Amino acid sequence: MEIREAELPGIGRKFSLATSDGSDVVIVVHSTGKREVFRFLPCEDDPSPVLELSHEEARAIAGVLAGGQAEPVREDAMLQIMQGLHLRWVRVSGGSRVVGRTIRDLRVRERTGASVIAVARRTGHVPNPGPEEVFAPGDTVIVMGREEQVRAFEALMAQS
Amino acid sequence: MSAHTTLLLEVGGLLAALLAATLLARWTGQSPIPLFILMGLPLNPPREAADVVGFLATLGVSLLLFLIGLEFSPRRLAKNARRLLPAGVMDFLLNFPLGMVAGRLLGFSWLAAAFLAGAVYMSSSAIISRGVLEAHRGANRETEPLLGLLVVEDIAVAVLLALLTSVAAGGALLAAGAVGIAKLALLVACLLGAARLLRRPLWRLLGSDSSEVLLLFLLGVVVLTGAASAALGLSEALGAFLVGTVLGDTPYRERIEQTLLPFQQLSAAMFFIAFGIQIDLAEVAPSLLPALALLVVFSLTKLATGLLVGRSWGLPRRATWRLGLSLAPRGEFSILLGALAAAMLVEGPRLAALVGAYVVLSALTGAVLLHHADRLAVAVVGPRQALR
Repeated sequence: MEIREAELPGIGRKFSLATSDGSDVVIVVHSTGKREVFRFLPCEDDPSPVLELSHEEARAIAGVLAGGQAEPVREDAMLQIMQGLHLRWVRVSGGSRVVGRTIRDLRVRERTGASVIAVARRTGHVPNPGPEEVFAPGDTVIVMGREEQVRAFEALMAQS
Repeated sequence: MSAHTTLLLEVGGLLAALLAATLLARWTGQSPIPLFILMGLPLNPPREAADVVGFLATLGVSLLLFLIGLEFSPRRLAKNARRLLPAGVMDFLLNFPLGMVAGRLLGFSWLAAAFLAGAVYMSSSAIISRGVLEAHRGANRETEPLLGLLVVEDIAVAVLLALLTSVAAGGALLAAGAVGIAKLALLVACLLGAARLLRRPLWRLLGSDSSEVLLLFLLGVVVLTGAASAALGLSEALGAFLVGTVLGDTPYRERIEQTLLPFQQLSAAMFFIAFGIQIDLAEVAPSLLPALALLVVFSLTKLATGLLVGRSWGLPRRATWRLGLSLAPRGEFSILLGALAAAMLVEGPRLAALVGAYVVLSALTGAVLLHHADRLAVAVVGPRQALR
């Protein structure tokens, strides 16, 4: 199962997924935040509109689709505890001093002990970022470590 | 009445005219671009406010191209380049050379004919992407190649601007053209180098929590790059386009867009109405017939472009027809070339009137084709197949 992504310059991005019943589901994510969902029925060349959602509605429905929970996906502060191992999602604010600097510049591992395991951003996710990865505002940094290490990392990110 | 009062009255009058055109555009569901030009036609050039309007118009065209540059990402284009470039070449070959022929037949010099060819070659990104949004055609199969073609035309406009302004400034054709391209390369290299060396301060400014910092920085960068570009003998619009592509490669694209939008709307409107004002009414009547001929011929060449590109892209027949029917409206780029020609060439006034009339006609009829593309495609190819 693969979701294909395409740019629609001036409009937004398009995601398509071929489902097992032979139809194609296409989601257009507008740069305004609006989502349009379409479906290409089997043997049809043109899409049929399915529904139109605002950004918030899409987040709410995504939660239901993903986990059967009527709660929106929280991307800002997801926290998982597995026997002292903490995994945390930290959002980079525009005013943070880490903006424009690399993981190496910031000496993240030496100063906090935590490991950056992924950077999620709208232009594409970076799993296992290298030391030259540059932080940008709006990035969600996924970091792993013991509780105090993860806290130290959050403190580093919060400095302005 | 003091000069100061006259200035305020003139600017106020223009704003009222722009508001009227915008309301009319909303009411009729048209793009405001042709209406701004029409609204400007009968107006007299401002006397006291000439500098103010002139600056706003310059800012307008710069911001317009800056925002187009922002959306344009070489990296994103590269993903589709293998399919888009042949399509873009087809688009160019079907429209530009014939535009040169048309220009020569209408009695223009080679250089003026090249400006005209550029004006008939460029489809309007503004009108077309708006039409696609309004008709909810985002998921349609033809939308990807349609918007892709517009992106290729954006690159073509950058090269054409560099070439035409250099050649118009004087000198032998090949030498001036080569110098133009060299200057373009120099400007690109400087901008890319600066963005790389100054990445940290640049990102901190762009990501600043204060929207004033961002706004003043962006306006300053656009105007000063425009000045550098104009000093090199390229147009300021080209500098703005290039700095837009550089900043579009940072993570702040959407923020920049949102910050500049109100300024862009105001100043672009001023640019279009100023173009309308500058057109000599006496030149319009003799331009109407040639403009109609251009409209017919170059709506057909764009239809042919769409049909060929659709076929080579492997689109189904109805989508292919919709593609062909969606490319006709011309707009902002054509006006930009017309305005440049008016400023640089002896035949400028006649060319500007012709381009103005042609753009108004093609924007209005092209929008109708775009709006009814689906129904027209059904009429040609037949309705949707029933589920088998």
